[in-house]
Amino acid sequence: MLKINKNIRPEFSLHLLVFIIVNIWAGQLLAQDRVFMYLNYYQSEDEQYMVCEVKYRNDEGFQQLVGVPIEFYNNSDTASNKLGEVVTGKNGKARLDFKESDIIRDEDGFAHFESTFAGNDDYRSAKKELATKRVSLAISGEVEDSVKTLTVSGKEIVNGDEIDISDTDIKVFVKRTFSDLPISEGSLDEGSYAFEFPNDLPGDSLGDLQIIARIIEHDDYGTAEVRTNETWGTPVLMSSGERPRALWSRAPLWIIISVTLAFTAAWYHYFLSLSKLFKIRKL
Amino acid sequence: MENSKDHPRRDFIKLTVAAACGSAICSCKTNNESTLTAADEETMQLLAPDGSLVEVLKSQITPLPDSELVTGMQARHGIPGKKFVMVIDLARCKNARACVSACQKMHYQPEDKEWLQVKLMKDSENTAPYWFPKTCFHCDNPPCVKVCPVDATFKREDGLVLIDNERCIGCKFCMAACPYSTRVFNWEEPDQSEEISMCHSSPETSVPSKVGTVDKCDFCPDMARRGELPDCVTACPNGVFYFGDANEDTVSNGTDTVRFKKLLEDRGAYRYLEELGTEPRVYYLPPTDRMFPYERGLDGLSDEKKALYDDIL
Amino acid sequence: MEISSFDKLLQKFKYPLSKVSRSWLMLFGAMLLLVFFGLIALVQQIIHGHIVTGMRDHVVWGLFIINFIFFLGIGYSGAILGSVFHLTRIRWSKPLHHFTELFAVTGLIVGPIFIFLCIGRLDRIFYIFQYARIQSPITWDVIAIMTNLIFIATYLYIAHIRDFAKLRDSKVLDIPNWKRKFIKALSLGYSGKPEQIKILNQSQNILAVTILFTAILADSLLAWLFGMSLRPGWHSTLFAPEFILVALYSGVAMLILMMWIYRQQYSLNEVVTDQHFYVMGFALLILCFGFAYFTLSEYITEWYNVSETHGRWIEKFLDFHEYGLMSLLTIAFGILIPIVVLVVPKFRTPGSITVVAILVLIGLYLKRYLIIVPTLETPFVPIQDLRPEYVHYHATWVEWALTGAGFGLFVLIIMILNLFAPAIPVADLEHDDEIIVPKPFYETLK
Repeated sequence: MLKINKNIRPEFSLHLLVFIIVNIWAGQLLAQDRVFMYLNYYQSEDEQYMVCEVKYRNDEGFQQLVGVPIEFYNNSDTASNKLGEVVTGKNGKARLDFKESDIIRDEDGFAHFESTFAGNDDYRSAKKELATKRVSLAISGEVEDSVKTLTVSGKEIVNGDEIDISDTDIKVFVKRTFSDLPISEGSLDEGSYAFEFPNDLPGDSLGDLQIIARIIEHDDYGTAEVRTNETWGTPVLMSSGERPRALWSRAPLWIIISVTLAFTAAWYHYFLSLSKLFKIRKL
Repeated sequence: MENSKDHPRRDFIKLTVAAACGSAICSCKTNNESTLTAADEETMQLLAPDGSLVEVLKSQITPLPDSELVTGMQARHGIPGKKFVMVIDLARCKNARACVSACQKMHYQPEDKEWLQVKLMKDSENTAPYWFPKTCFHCDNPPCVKVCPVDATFKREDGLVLIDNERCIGCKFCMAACPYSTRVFNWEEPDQSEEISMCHSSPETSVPSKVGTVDKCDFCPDMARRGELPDCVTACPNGVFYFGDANEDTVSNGTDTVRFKKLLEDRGAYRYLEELGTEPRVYYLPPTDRMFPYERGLDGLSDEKKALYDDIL
Repeated sequence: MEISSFDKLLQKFKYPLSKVSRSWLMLFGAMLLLVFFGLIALVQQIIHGHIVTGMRDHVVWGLFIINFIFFLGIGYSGAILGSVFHLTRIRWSKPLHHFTELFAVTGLIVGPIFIFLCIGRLDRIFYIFQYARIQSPITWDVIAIMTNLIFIATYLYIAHIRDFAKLRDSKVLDIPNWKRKFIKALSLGYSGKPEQIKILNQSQNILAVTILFTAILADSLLAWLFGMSLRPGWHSTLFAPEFILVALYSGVAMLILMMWIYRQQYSLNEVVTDQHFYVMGFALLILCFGFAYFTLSEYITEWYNVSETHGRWIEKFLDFHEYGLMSLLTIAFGILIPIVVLVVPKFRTPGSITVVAILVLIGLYLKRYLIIVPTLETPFVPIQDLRPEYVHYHATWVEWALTGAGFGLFVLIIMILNLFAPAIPVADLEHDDEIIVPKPFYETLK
């Protein structure tokens, strides 16, 4: 070993230096976890927002990256185009709400977005881009001979003009406690999709239902939705559902009467007996 | 911003004045809850109710509850308009036991206390064995509620059978009455951190456990109030559990949301031990077209544990 | 019988009425020790929780509930026997009355203690009244036990008034002053006036009838506590009559045991005669047949039926790795040996009848074990637990110590009650012209 070192050539030492530098850099990289970033765009009539989700991977699989700042940009990542900065929450997601007036769209109606994570000692930086158009969805219902027809119409907005959407998948849901129940699935054709609404869907006590039409993660539109309420559900009658002989709430009358009678009869005779006893002293 | 991999959520803990004063407010059973370690010696300044600034150890701060604890009559009455049901798809279960550990984590139960159990069943000699996850069945005709002398366990209008462990006297009559061996007793002081055991208890969270009282699966009504599915449902990698509201005729396993009655019809659902007349609120879908052979559930089990199933197979 | 011989009878109770003997003190001390040992176990249970018992999530009730049923059985049967003896006016039964009343009260005091030991949160015990649910069989049982305890304790007192009066007036025994004063107060100024005799008799009659009804009802409620559940081995319409019969069986056995102990201790051969033993032995035999009948009826219906869970349950009684031996012992002690000894005249002596009575008590204790534990070990859903203590119930030293304490307390209470009145109704015997001996229709060949 020592002998070789003495005869070291200049080229070799240069190689060694490069090797060491690369190693340090790689080691730095290895110490940092790779970050996986997902960017989604959501739009409805009254709101627009982006959700950026960041994850890293460890031995147990993907884990949410919690508490890191995500920067959102429109068009390019310069300070003037910055839409905002949001720190990821417990689910590893950062949501940024914005208004149409906050952003700039190109002549085709596209808005270009970018989300970046600067990275830190533990995680590498990450970046994601997205381009979306503004969409307007609407739902209208019609009842004829007790057949309920629901029509969803969709238009994209380019420079203020409304253009019918075609060949775009759309799903219709009903809002439920834990999630949305899909009831129909189809394609917008010349700006509309119509289907017969099921007759047997339970609504609330009045039969009210919230109907949602949604374009999901479309390349151009992101996720777009519209909601409306219709009294098209069957009203649900609320009942306690207590079965006969289940005895949840209160004891049946006959048990109360029986126990009271038995108890009273027993104690009446007990005191009758005692009352006689007290007479003994007087005699 | 300081960010450690061990405590990635540390910075998200909302701090309250009440917490600063060491009062027993904490977020019992919130999802993704973070726990601070005592080794953490950082301090933080907080405003006390009297207006003065106090400095406390970060490790002594507990997070703010995500939602108000539901107690008293409200907890006994139930969530208006709901009738919770569960559907368990036996064709998808491979004894992954993610439901069991999620439930234990959620309710701060030790590993040997299983509110949710997965049994290996084999109904007869020639029929095939299958894995059988068993929650509380929240019966509509609950034998446990019937016999409780103090109204500690009760049936709610949303179909749930819950326990008020501040009321329970520990007579165990409900445990003797339950034909499904659902209930577990706290035979000794529960193995829960001081932080958890100091929480206010609510029948809706079933946290903290109390020595000498009965615990069981509660269908996580505190999460239902927030519109979230119970942890066993979301933890299951195979979508075995469907949970939902029968009044809405909808159940969801986190991925798929389907019509409840249609699911029962299509898959030939049944209820376990229907003949007992307890009217369970949990339905089973028979293990047809299985996703996994039952042997997959034996993978990774200790020989000791496998030996338990010798009599069955 | 002449007055003087009654004085002689009373003399026999010099110990412990006038003062306690050394043997009394030793027995009392031994029993106190048992109770004290139980208290140590109780402290363990209070400090560490029920984990120190053998009870776990499947077998949620163990020795405690077995003791509870056993002592309540003794108590209720004492109440039933006492009131039947009184109401039927069987004259030869008079010397036995106080025995039944004594173990009735004591059984009803000791039994409920074991239900308290079963409760996980004794600090909340008053919730039973505060939040009482009338639908719960436990509420019925609480009402029934308290009612019966008060009734039978009062009955014990009423039945002793004549004795208190006798003790007050008699100069035969040198009773300590404080006790004499106490006895005087308890005697209510009873002096045997015709009006007093009539009223006291009325009072006792009314209470005896009431107790007869309430004791039968209360023991049935105890049986329904189990019979109303869905579990195989418990869900049986037969349970209430079976509980009452088993209780009476254990009660008669207890009565024979007490007759023998008191006859030996106080040399009461003239009062508690051999003939008494034969007659009570005959009663034991009849109840033994009843027990055999109920046992057969209980098991044959389950055995013949092929239900899966019932089958798993009944097979445990036939399997010597499970409860085969205990079932065999129950049948041997409760049925076979009593029949052989009580049917064959040659075997029939007061001593052998007493031994049979002791065996019957052991057999019926085991019977209660067989009612509780195998059923709880046979749930509908297979257990599949790695922890052996969750599969099989084994009572721990804590439970045995507290069981011992229960028996110790049972003896202690009777010994304390004996301090204040003779265990034989001396006053009632005085009014008889002679001690009536049961007619010899069932006796030994000697």
